[in-house]
Amino acid sequence: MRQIIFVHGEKGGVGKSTLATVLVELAPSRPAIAECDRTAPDVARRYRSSGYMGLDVPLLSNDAPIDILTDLMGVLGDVSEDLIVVNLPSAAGLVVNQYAELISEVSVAIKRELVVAYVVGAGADSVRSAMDCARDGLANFAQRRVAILNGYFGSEARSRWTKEADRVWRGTVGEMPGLPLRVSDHVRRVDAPLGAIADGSVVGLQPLERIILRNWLRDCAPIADAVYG
Amino acid sequence: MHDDARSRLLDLAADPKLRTERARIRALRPEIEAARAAGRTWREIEDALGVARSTLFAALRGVRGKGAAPPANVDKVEKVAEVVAASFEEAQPLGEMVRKSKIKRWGE
Repeated sequence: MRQIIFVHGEKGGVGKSTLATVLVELAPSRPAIAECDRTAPDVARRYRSSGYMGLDVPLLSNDAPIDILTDLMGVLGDVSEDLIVVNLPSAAGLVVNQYAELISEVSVAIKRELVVAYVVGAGADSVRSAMDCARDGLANFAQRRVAILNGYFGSEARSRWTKEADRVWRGTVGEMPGLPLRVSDHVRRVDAPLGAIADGSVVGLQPLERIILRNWLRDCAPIADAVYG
Repeated sequence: MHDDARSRLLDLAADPKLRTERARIRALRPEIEAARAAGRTWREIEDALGVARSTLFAALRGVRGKGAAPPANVDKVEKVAEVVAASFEEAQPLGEMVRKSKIKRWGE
């Protein structure tokens, strides 16, 4: 199944880039990457030099978002990879939701399943944003929608996700395990694919930290399964 | 079509009810559809009107904002998708599109 996966979430710091990285690592085939976060291009930084097909997308710039989105969807129409992971910056959530119908139409035209992977952080407003996205945002138009509760915040995200949120979301709900702070801090400093850091082919982590990272990636597999189907 | 279309667009621009470029393009919809039916490509139409393709598409499709209802039926979506797919087929080669756009491929 050819897919375009939007890693969404209107709050900053909820773990969108982390999830995008996980989805790149655990994809069933090598995905293309569209990095839309210009202020913190964490995914591009990690995979740019590793042979991935990637795009830098100035979604939030002086240009009209509709122009950039139209360009983006046109360019993505010619991407040969079966999977495309789109990493959105937090402030782009409203823009993407506003043009959700257009994105949906173009996804059909370029024969790709539209997937929304929505990261939910600790606050109640993060859950509300996910519900808004499901009601009339991009998730409303997605063929597959997966809400990911970030376990980095302990049980906070899970406890905020109510039955009403479940009902409104109408999709899969998964949980991304938390990576211990010490390891995530070290990982953040190394500009290399997570898999390469975990298997030791890139220097940066202590042996025990590498094991923790490997186990964490393994524990994230159910999320990738839910997204890629 | 070129001069006619552009002068019609300028005429419409003078109409206070059609203040935005998108509204003016929408007012030209019959002519645009006629041009398409006559075999004109989207590129010829955008050149004739002197507007960007993104503006043209957004205007014709009447992109709706947050809170708008989802599409009424699948047929409509598929019909629009066919139009968009056809326009992609007629679009300029990808390399040129990437150069003109602000989206950069890694390694460029």
